[in-house]
Amino acid sequence: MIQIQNVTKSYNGEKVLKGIDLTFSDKEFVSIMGASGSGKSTLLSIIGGFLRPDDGNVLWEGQNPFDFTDDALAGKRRSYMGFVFQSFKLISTLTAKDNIMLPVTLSKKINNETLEYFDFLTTELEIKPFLNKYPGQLSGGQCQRVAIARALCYKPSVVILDEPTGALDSVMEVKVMELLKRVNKEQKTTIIQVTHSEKVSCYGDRIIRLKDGLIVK
Amino acid sequence: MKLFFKHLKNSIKRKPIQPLILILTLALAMVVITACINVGIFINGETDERQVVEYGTADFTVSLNATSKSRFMFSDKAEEILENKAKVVGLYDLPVYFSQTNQTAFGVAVDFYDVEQVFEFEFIEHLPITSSSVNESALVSLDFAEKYNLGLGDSFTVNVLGYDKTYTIKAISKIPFMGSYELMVNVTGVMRLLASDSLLVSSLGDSFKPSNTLYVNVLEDGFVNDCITALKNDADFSDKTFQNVANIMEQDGEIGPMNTIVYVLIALSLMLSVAVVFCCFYIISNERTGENALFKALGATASKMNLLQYAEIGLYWLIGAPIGLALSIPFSKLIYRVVGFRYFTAKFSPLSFVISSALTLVISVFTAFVFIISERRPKKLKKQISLYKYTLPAFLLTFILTITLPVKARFILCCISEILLFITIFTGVPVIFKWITSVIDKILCKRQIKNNGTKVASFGYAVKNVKQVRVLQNSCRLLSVILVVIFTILTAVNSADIVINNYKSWLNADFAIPNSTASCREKIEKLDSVENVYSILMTSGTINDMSIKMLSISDVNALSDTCDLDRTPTGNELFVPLAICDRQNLKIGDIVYIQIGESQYEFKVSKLRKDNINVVIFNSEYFGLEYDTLLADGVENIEKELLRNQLLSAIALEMTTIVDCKELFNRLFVVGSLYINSGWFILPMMILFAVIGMVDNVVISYRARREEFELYSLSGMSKKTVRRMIFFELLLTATFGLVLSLVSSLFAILLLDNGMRTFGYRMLLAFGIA
Repeated sequence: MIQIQNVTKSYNGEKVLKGIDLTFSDKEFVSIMGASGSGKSTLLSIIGGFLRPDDGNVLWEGQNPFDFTDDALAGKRRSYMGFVFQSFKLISTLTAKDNIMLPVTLSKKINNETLEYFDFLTTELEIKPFLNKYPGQLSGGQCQRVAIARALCYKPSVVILDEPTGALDSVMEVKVMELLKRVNKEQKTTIIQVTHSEKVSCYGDRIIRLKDGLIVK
Repeated sequence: MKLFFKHLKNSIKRKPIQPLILILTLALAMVVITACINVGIFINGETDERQVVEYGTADFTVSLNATSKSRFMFSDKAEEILENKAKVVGLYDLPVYFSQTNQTAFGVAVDFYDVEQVFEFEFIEHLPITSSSVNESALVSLDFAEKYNLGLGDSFTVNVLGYDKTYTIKAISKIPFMGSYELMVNVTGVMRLLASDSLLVSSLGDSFKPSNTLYVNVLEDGFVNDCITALKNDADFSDKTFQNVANIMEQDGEIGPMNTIVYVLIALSLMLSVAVVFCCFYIISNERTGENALFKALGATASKMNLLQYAEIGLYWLIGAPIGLALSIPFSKLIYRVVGFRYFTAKFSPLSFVISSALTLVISVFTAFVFIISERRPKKLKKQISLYKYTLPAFLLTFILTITLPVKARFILCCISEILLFITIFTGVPVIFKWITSVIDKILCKRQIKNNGTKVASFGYAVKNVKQVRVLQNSCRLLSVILVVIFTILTAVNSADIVINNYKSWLNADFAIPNSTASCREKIEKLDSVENVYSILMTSGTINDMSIKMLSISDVNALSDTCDLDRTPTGNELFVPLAICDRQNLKIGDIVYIQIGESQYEFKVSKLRKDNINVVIFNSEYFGLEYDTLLADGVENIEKELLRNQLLSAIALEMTTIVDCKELFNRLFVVGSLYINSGWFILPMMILFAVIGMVDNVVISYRARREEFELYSLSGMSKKTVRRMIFFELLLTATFGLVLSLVSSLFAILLLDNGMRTFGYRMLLAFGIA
């Protein structure tokens, strides 16, 4: 379970989040929507432990990630939480395959099961043909799918996605959302996504709407 | 353009560390280049000043030799023969010793009234010398005054030619007289000492002013040879040795090849500077590639972008050059002090600063130019990366030619080959490094699959990064070039140092007595403190317009083990060192003709000596040339000072002196020693510059990759693992750079060794020490 308690955040004196309270239960599939500048990406970054809020708490299974040591946080990042960034954030010096397998390799969890799952993900996301290419050689859509595969490969408890289908065509968009739905159901993974698309948001169990830094009831 | 300069300003403001590092690099490059240029200027200045100090305005000298019938000459007689077309000053070697302390000082007796016709002296302080006090006046060097704790006006008593005499110090000179004498006295005063026991001296009175060396300053240009001929035609001078001063300086200093060494040093410092500046700028430009591409995509013309590149690096040079200039002055002063110049007063030539500023500007512009070319035309970029494919075979070809072609052509080929080697390393190292890490990566990937990847892959990711990250390959390139330059200079300087030390210990004796006679030998052999006495002849000759030093020895034991010699030559045998063989293209069995003095002699090359002593050994007795120097080797454990004094006492009236055998060669290598001392000073400076450049490069490259490391952290890599990964990246870079540079250095040093053979030098491959 992830809890957000009275979180606020400002940039250059301007409040972007104004006292957000949220709870994400296990196995929940939540979509966060809002207009441009409403604070969605900021909220997602705070949930993911990348951005420290000015006020309030973030709790992962009752623990504040900002209190973790570096090693403990790293450990959590490769086992508890997966993150798909809006700008993909693939490591340019690693091939697509290396990027996907990076968290698994760091966790020393390369075994038949993970390899099989890797195979499954890359087939589903149709990225098998370019696993040996570098991010610089891939299109935006291909990079996004690689980033999604990386986030899912080690079967984390929580997956956070920022505009996961922004660079995809409609067919692939459906495929990706179906996959996420399946992961949510079968692996009981909590999925939190930010999206502009109403169609994509409907895949979630719950939609949270943000406006001017506040949750719209 | 305003917009572009605003962009440049903001880019610099956003990341100020990188430009600061590049400015520092340019400044240090300027310091290194200026130091090398100043070494050349200082040494040339020292050589010129040394000539003035040691020979004054003399055009030629006349000195005694073993065949000379009379043991002294007279300067006024020489002036008479020359019909006053020349000024002649006579010097009489006069060792004196302090009886109470048993110390010896080397002095000279001259005619105080005449000496300034040829020599000029600068005194720190002086008192007037009157005609009544002239024979009791002594002019001393600062070293002498400090050594014996004497000051201006102080008196001291010494033993001169067996007589005690008291002198008063009337002047103190900063440097020794004529470069080697600690005190100078009037010859008349010395001769008056002898008058009491010598009828000849007493009968001639004060007009008896003997000399063992005459310094002749020809008043009219172009008449030097005529004057030499006129003196030779006189019976009193026909059996003396004549030496043109210009020839002496050429033989002693070997100025031409030594200047070549300075140019080599400057060239190496330039290579180092190009490498460091280029590699630092590479990282900065690499980061901006995306931005620049965006500008062009938005309509900026290539010429505007080019101007921006030149403007940026020009700005760094404008700031770095004055800093470099400010640092160059104290560094150059430090060189001057550390290297040990005796005569030259450091005057900083604006020319050296102008040249080094211009060279660093050229380096900067060249660096920007390369990036402009690489960004402008992708096809050329590919060619640039593959440039080593052309330079490598060219280098191999020139290398083979350098080591196989006749020696005279080798230096030019050596220079071309070294440049090709530099370009090959510069363009080839990143590619080869990438290839090797790809192979390692493949091996690691296979092992990972086999072992089900149970190991943490910090080393594996380090390999992957090195394979892909161009800034890491760039660091490897920089390290390779740095190490090759440093190894080459270190080996060259070390080699020269060893050679000179070999020269100093070449003679197997403690003292030499030049211009000695049979009577000298008899007296010395009687001394209990002397174990062995050898006779040698040291002379010079000309072979095919090349001046060479020649040595004849009565006994093979006169030379130490540093000489590759098991016997003395017999008949017309000639034992030639390899360096001279290279230069003259000689082999065993060749007949050569050597001009010694006025005559030409035929020799047969019988042995090629492997030692680095550039002196040919021959048998002078076969040609009727007499030995002119004695070598006295003291008994074991005898104190050198005691031996020196005993020898001096023994030969007191022989009108000769004794010289420490080590010092005998010191004079020959004064200039060489200066170059070596400069090399030992410049080398740490270059190492420091290289280390700073390398650290700067690594700092800039890792700062540029911060985002990448954050991504690793975001993917779950702990900071410890990231640090370990970085460590492995650096280890891989350093290991590869070191291995490659060792191999390349071997080629570079072999090239330099072969190149220097053109000048008759062979380098000892003291590579292990390097």
